[in-house]
Amino acid sequence: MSGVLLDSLAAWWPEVILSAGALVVLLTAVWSKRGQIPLILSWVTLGASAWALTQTGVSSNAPFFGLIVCDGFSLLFRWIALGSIAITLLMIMASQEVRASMRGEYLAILLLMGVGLMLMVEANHLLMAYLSIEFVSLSGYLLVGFPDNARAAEGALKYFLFGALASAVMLFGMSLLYGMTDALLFPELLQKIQPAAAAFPQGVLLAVILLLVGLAFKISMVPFHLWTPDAYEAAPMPVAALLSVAPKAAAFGLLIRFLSTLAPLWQDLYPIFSSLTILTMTLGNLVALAQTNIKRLLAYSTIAQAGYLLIGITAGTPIGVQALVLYLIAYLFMNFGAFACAVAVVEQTGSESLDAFRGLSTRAPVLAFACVLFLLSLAGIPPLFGFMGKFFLFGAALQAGQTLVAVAAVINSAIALYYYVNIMRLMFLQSAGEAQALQPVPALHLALGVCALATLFFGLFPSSVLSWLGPIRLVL
Amino acid sequence: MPTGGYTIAFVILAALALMGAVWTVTLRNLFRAALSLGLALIAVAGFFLLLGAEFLAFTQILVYVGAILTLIIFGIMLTAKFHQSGGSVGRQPCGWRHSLAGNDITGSVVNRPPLPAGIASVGLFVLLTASTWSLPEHLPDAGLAPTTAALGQQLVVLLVLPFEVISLVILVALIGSVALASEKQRFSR
Repeated sequence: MSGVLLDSLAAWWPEVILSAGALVVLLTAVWSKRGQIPLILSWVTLGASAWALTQTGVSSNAPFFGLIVCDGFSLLFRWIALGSIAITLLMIMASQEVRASMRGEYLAILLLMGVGLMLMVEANHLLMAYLSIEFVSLSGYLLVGFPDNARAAEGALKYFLFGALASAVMLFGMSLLYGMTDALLFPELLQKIQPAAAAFPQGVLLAVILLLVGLAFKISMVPFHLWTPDAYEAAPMPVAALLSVAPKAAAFGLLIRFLSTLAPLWQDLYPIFSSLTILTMTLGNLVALAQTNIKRLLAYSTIAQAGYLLIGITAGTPIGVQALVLYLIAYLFMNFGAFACAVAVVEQTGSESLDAFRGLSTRAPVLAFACVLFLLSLAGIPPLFGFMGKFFLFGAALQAGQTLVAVAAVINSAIALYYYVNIMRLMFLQSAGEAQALQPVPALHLALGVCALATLFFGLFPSSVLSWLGPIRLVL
Repeated sequence: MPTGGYTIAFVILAALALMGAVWTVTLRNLFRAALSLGLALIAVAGFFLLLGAEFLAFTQILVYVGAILTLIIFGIMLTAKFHQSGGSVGRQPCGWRHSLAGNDITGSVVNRPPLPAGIASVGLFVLLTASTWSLPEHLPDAGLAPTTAALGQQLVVLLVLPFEVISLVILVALIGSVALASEKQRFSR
């Protein structure tokens, strides 16, 4: 018995360290209200967790009686989760907005959210899946609602109400699915879904669709995207950046694992996914065209990006999934980078309007250059990392014979280019007027530098990333 | 096929649960709506008992009726003054307390005709009934053995990880709620 638990823990040290570190941060925060100690401890925890992650590697046996899996697929997503927490921490250090209301609790919740994110991609059991989604959602609501103003309270409340509804629907779907298949573990579900679907064709499909609503909410797929702009606008900038990347990446991981469990039903689910994929990117891009607030613009841009990512799932092939993961890694760097640029501008001008970007090329040339890099990468211009991701995604769609999806994606990329280039136009072609020069703080320089280097380097030398994608052998 | 006593008990419980649920969403008086919710929850506990899950039934009563319903009633009693002041508060979102208890949210939802929501729930009900109608009915075995021992075993062996993770989730919820509430105290407006 204890042998099983010890073996399980061997694969799970990163999460254990992260949880324990969060508790220590919480305790030290009692004595050092605004001091640096909780912040330093958070970095130590992240470092220790990352080190443990390098040591654990891939375990073949299923830890904790098969409730979670620590395979190569989840390992990649665990790195994405740790990376997004680290970049968010850098941005929090640079943001006055957060520091004014920041306390140790904030950092502890951030670290614990990391545990939830890692669990989400490891889940191999319906209970674990639900629990980890709730874990991440709860921390998300709290991080949005922390600043002491009416806007944050309203945004967090909206996010919470939408989230609670989505969770309830998902839980209902899970209970129906369990009632019809009598299975909670994903491998068991895979075996029993076919007979169950034969006995109750509409029933199983309905349960699965209700279940997918919860995940669709997390990745802000189109009919369930309404919370996104409001929550991002209300949240402090670093938190908005975190929400736009980390829960989405984890939800995509869980979605892929879940869909590979439901492979026998894919024929019925495919039409829903392909139409919603096209709808998600089109709506995200069209609404983004009309935005004048940088946070709302980036929010709609992330909805459109989620649409591109969904192509990998719609393709329904191992290559599609690999392309999705590749684009997720690119998205991690370029989206965090774009948000970091926005943090730098919003922090110093105090304005969230797009006009705050006017003449940035003369006020902060390096920042403007980095910003162009991220925006072009988001738009999918070669030779940047975003282009590589899109190239593989669209290629996967074509290879799977889904010309319509691929054509819609290309048209959407063209639409998206308009609003990305519009920001560049403001930065380079408009005069700064009275505005002063910008001087981002060192922590933000580091975040920008890491994201910019990754966006450029992996765009030029994609083979280094492609080698990481080898262990992904999940077939839809 | 169900035996006579079982069917009678089921019909009574189902009627209670449905009545409670309908009253919860239709009654104007929040306090009465909360009590109706209690009725529905107790009836659901009765279903669990009927299905041979006695531990679940008692937990349902302890947690939902005993704790959560009490919490809801406390919440209604503590925020009663917002409702007595009528609609003069206006639409000025100013922090958690107003958003949660003021007319901003509860008022607009309560006063809106519930037609779309009604159609959606009836539609979902029809869909669910149609798709699960053919499910075979399993009756619990005649001899009801206590399930607590097996549940306890599961919690410390098979489900030890979710058990621990739930404590982390509760920790996050507790820290968050305390932090949010204490901040409002410092900047009370």
